[in-house]
Amino acid sequence: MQGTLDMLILRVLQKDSLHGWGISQRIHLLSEDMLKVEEGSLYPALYRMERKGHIRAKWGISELNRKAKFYEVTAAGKKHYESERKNWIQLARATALVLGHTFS
Amino acid sequence: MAFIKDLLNRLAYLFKGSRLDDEMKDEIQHHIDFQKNKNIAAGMSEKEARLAALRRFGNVERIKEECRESWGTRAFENCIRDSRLAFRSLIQRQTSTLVSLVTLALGIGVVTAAFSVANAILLKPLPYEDPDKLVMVWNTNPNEGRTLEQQSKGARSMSVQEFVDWRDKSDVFERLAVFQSWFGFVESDENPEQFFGYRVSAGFFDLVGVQPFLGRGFVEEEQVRGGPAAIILQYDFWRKRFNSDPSVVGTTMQLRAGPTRIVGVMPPEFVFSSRQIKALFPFPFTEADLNRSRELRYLRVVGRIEPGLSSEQAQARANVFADHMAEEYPQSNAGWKPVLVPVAENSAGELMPAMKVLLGAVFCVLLIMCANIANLLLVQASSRKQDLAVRSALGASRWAIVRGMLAESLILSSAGAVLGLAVAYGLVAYFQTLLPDRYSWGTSLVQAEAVGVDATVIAFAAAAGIGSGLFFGLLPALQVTGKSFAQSLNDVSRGALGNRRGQRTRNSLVIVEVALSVVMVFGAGLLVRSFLTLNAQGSGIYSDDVLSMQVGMPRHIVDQIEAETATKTEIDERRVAARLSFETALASEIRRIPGVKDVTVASERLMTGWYFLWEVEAEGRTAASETETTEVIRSRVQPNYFDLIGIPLLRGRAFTEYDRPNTRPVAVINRQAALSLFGSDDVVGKRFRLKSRPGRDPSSWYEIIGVCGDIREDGLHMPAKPYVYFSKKQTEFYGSGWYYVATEGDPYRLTPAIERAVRAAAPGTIIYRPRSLDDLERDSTWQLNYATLLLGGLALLALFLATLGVYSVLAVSVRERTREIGLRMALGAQRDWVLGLFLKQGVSLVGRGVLIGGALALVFAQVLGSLLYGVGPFDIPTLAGVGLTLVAAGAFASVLPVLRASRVEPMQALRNE
Repeated sequence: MQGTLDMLILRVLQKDSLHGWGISQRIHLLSEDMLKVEEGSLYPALYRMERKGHIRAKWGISELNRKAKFYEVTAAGKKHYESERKNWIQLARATALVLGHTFS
Repeated sequence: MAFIKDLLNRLAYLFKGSRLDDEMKDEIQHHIDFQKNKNIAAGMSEKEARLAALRRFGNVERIKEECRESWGTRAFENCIRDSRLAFRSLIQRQTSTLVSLVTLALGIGVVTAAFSVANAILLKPLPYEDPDKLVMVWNTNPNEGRTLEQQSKGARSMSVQEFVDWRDKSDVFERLAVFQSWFGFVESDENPEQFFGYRVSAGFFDLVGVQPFLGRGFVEEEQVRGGPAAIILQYDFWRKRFNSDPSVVGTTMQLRAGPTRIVGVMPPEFVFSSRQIKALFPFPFTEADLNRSRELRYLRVVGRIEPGLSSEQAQARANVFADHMAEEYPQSNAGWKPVLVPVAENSAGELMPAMKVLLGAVFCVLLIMCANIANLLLVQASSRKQDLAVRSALGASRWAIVRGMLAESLILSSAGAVLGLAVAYGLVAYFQTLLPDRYSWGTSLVQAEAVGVDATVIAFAAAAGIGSGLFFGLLPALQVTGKSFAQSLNDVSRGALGNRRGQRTRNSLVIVEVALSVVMVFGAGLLVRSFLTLNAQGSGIYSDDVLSMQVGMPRHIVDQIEAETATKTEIDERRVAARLSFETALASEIRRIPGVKDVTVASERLMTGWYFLWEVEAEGRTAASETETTEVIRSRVQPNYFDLIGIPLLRGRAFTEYDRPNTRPVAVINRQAALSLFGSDDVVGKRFRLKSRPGRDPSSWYEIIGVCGDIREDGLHMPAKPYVYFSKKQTEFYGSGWYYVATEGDPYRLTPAIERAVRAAAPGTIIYRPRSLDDLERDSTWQLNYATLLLGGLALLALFLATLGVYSVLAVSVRERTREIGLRMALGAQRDWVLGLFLKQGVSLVGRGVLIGGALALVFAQVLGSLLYGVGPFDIPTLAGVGLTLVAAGAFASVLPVLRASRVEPMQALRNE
């Protein structure tokens, strides 16, 4: 789901700025390898979010000693993340309720 | 905000273009290399590590494509590609592009110009604050036989005392002011000028809600008789006479009336009642004014309705107040009723119906134009069908193909709109030259003179362009890419009977075109017939090449008399004598100019609809006609007047040099006056006099020595007015002299020479408003002329477009059916049959259009009612003529295609694949 990927990217970028590969590694880590997305589909999402102004890219030097884009969250991105996060939690709660499962 | 930022980012990406693409590829490579390194570290071989990394990444090419999508520049890129393709294809099809462009430029041009007229007259708000609340207040009395129309000619409206009552005691108006026409005369040797202005009473500027943009309005002491003389200039006058010099405000202007201080300049958009108004003067009431009879109704009144009152409520309250006034002053006010006319209506009144028709016609022509181009594009589209089908087969979506075709038509229509706007500019400039030089008494001229290409008009042209582009582009695009699209690959190569569905669409478009043009040509036909009737009937003046103008008597003559003489009667006598000798001298001076045949001087100007009415009574018939009064126009003329102007003498004689102050008072009256006074035109020898007016005795009895022909003074379309003529020598009093100069050939050619002669004879004076009698006659029906020209032009365009439409449909039909014709001829069909086939098609198209259009025309022609003269809106002969014209045009349009069809060689046609 597009929204999901955007959320994860925003979450991952909350603290540090990372390049594409770094972001994909973090997502794997955070989601305990549960999300089996094609890694490549990360990039269209990144570009789209950059266009919308949720994240911005800066040039830096990667561990491979090559020029690479490092992404970071903008103020607008932070706001978007907070509101989306609330929505998600609510939705998850509701879903859990319907499925007869309590959420801690 | 977010949306705009998004859009800006997209545009930025568009310009970064290929660099962005390279960066993206780099970034993906970087990712894969990272993964590969990680895999190698985990113990894979170089090759294994790379493949695993790629697998993990997914379909690289597809992801690259998705990335490009995500920049959001696709729409723009498509747009650019579509327009590039469209340009190429338009240039390729030179002929049809050119035809469409010319049609569009003409169509949008004419339509925009016509719209600019309707815009100025119907839509543009008047240049006042809250103009809907402003009303003209007319006073009518059915018993006096006055119609509102006569009232609005400015004959009479309110007396000073009535005005004061309305202003101070009624509860209808927030403010009320009067205005009156007034002349200004700049005395100057190098640049004398006479101009028309209004005197306006206190509070006028607050009433209209417009203040001078330089200087100030009139102050209280200027609104008192004997106070400092002041003038406020209209913007145009200021610009022309003072070169827009702001420092003239506060300086003094030398007017004939005395030195006058310029206190302000009105803003450029301000116009009140007439654009001829060059300046405003204060309008002080004196004690004498206030004590004048309540029946001297000569003020024109404008008011602002109390806030919160609707115009109906205001009218109702005004009626109640008028009843009160009638009770209080039964003698002067019984029967008088106020009529409140919104200023906007008052000014557009006469042209209102014509403008509504014009707006309708504008949209008709737009529709016809669109239908025509749609047809042309349909034809093209059907011949491009194969090409489009191939594109579709190669994977172009229907939307992509429609988009491509729309791009073409939008480019066409935008170019057409730009060219059309240029055409409109030219036409509007031309319209301006058609306007009459006429005092307009608060009628539509004000707005007609405001006709111009402004933002609304440009917006209209743009909307017309884009709207028509969408309309004529979408129709063929959807039609061609319709259901049967996939089959068309086969269709074309098999070349069966023409495409029936396309044919049907095109036919209905043409029928609509023909129907609409029938409506328009019918409307224009009625107007043209009215125009011809009026001009055939004429005004009653039978002369060519007469120039009319006014020349005032130089001030110094009057000053000298006043300085030398003591008593008022003596001054008057000497002034009259001075005037007569000045006129005689000037006339003989002008007569000496080569090319001048003769000169005559009269007290009144002809054919301007501007006159004062005098009540007259016939001797011996006074008692019988107490209730009905005869009102006449009075003119003092010289003996050669009737000859020179060309007014036929029906009975008796004209004046001679011997009709002088000390001889028997004589008069020549026109037939209308004779009938109205005596019920017969055999009246030579009978007598009449001017009735007494409040505060004035009746005149002496005048013996009628001749009866002359009538003149339609109010305009060719109005009934003739009763006229009485006195001998200038016998009855001369104050008054301005109108000179009529009969010339050889174009009268205006002599204007400079006459001007020189006048200046030489009387330094410091000028000739005012020189205008030929022919022009004055033409101007008297300018509303009809204007409407005829506009609608006529639009109708001709419609006719032309409809003919073109019929032609193109038939031409295509012939082309599509060439093989069929060949086949039929091969099987034995005669050429006559082929000819008949297409002629029948053409005639049936036009015939159906004419039938529908004829019915519509009869419904819509009623709107023209008030503009027509001597012909009704249900005029069947005109309608029949229009129908025949259309059928003839249709037949003409069919000639070429039909001939082409009949020349088809069967063998060639069949091989022709």
